[in-house]
Amino acid sequence: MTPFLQQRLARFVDREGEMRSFCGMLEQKDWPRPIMMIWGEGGMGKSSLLMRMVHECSLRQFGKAEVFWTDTRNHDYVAVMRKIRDDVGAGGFVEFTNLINFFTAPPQHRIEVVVGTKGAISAGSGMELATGASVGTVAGVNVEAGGIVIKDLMLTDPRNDLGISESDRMMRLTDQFISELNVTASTRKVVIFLDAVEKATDLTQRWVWNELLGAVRDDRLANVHFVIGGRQQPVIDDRWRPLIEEKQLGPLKREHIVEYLKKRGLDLDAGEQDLVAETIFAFTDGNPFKVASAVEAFARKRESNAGK
Amino acid sequence: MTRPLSQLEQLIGDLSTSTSQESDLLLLQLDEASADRLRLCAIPHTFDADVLRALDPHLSTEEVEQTLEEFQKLPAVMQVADCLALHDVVRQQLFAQWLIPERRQEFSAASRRLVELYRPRADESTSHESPSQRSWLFHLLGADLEAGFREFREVYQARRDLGRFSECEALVRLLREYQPVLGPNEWSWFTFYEAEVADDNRNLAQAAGLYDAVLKRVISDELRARALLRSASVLRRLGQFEPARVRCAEAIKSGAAPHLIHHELGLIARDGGEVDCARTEFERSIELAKAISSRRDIVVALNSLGTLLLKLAPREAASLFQECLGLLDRETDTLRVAQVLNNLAMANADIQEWSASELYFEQSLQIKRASRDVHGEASTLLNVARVYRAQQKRDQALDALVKSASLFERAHDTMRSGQVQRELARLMRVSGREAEADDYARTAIGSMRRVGNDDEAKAIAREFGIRDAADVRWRRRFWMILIGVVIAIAVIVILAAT
Repeated sequence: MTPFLQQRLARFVDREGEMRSFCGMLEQKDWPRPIMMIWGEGGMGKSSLLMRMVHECSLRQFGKAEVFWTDTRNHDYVAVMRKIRDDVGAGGFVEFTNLINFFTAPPQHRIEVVVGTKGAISAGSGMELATGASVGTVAGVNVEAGGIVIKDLMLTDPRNDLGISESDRMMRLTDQFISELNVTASTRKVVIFLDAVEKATDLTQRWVWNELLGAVRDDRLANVHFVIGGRQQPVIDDRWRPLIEEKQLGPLKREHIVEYLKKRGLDLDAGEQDLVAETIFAFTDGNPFKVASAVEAFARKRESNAGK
Repeated sequence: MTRPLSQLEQLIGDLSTSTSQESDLLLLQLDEASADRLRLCAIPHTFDADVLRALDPHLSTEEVEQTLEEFQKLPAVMQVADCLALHDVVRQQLFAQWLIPERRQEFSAASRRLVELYRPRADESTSHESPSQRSWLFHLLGADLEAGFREFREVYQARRDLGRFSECEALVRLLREYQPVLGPNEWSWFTFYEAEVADDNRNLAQAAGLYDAVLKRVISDELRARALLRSASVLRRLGQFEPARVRCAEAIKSGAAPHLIHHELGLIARDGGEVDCARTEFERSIELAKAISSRRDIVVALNSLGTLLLKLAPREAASLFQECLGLLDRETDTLRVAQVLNNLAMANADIQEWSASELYFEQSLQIKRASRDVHGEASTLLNVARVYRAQQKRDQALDALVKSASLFERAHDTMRSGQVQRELARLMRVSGREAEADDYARTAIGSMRRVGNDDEAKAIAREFGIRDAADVRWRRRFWMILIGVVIAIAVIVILAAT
């Protein structure tokens, strides 16, 4: 963890209720709601709260994955699964990786790896290599000292020589992914963070709900928890309600600003602190991002005035 | 008044009229040079050392590191995977400031440097989809809107042709950031793309509204023709057949490809239940597509006509599908080949050409297996089982159905699995294996109950004379309540009498 991140976590204020629920989700075996939805308008501190939750997972040594959407990192469903696989540990997703390579890599760039039930491994039987090529450099399969490692070729366009529709391809990949994620989670709890989900495309959002979270609803995925951060209030229908803990992030209160000022270490006496907190509260309406920015700008102004 | 408070009040007072308080507060935390660099960091969506160096080429490696360290401390800067990003609210405010005319020159120059940074390598296609490819395209628009927009259209179309609709939506979102500076032509195309995205996402009413908005503008013939055709298609799917026909008539005047217009008119007639009219339009579409040797469009029209005639004139449909198959490349049109083989097999089944039907289903099955399409394989097995049954090949039918049910289960399609179980029950019954028929029927009822299809469950129970467990429970509960009520009334009467 970077020192800046540590500093931010140390200055984290409020959100005790959300953190309590989250810790309950991590610690209690019979926690009924495996999905937590955190929503609030821009600047309400969703990402900071998620950062704190990620840290809690690290402390408990749980498996975790973080998917964060931006306009240029607009993960589609395959990219989401790839990110979760790589964060949780690609070793547990061999068949999934193999399947992605199968659907995207033309046959001349791919060799098949068959892992037998008794540990027998065969790779590339019957394949022909171009002059000068070696198995180690061919498509997704690396022959390394410890054995054969399946590597994702990270291709995105589907092969056009396969007779499978995009929707069926999506189902196959998702099923394989869910099945391997479920096996991975059977040995240790996995928490998946999906942040800024409103930036995902419509199709990806539908996949997140119907397929990824749908696997939790249909009992195909156990010991996996989801924390979803977004700006809009989710529309949750009755099928989902028992599974989802919804948390709306509201503005900070005046006492939280006092606490933040204390943690920030500004040299103010108690009376000054109260007055400053009151003024910042009135200016920012308790918007956490604006509060933090105003405090930092104020600190900077004080430093520069002191230097004069 | 204490001194710290007056400092704070002065700071706040300076910002009271600002419409970008968040970014102003952020810039106040930095000296002038760092503030300028941070403004530059609002041009890309994320930044790291390479990006910062491209944005400000005068910075030394040491200065880049120091600047990033300084920025990381700011509340508005977040770590996103391996790079940094400005908080959305701040970035939007700062990016909007870059788009004002006075700053466009500096903005274009910075964007040009980012274009160079993200330029695809010689071995990468520009249509390859990745964050850096999106960044390259985004900054190309900033560097030179006209050239960038040309490239955008090509990349967007390439993604569309590959059916990568989610990627198309992601691209349109990038373009949306340049909305304030789009010229009339670019604006019209942008609205058209928004409509296509809405259409892809099945928001038909929204798509129709956006196509209308495009058509109200002064636009090129190419765009008008495309918007009219797409609008007709959306209106058809909304069930508005007459307005859809009007759009097609307008499209003819705008110079849209006639074979495409007739194909759409065929679809409108088909969906409106006018079979003869649909047939005439599809035939016209095939004729016109052949005249210009548009293989892809001939295939589409032949398939549409074949599907229309599948039940009405299966022999004719089979011949159309056969022609279609001859036009397809088995190496590169594999998905369509599998679909046509399936149609061909069904047409042959309808004219009781069982061995031909079986052959085509087997070919389709091979493609599905080779493509690892579990659901497709399950559906084809269900279809071919009917053909086996018709030929009295009961063992093969049984084998196909058992595999089909198992594959549907694997694909988590409980509903279809239930349908296959019902077929299995029927097969067992005609084979005189009543006990097995009963077992399969019960499994089918269970599957239908699991997916909430109670009507289908009851129908199966009726067909096989099974007392549906849920039904039995309901009846038992009903009788218990009735008996309870009767006893209660009796007790009341007895008590009243005594």
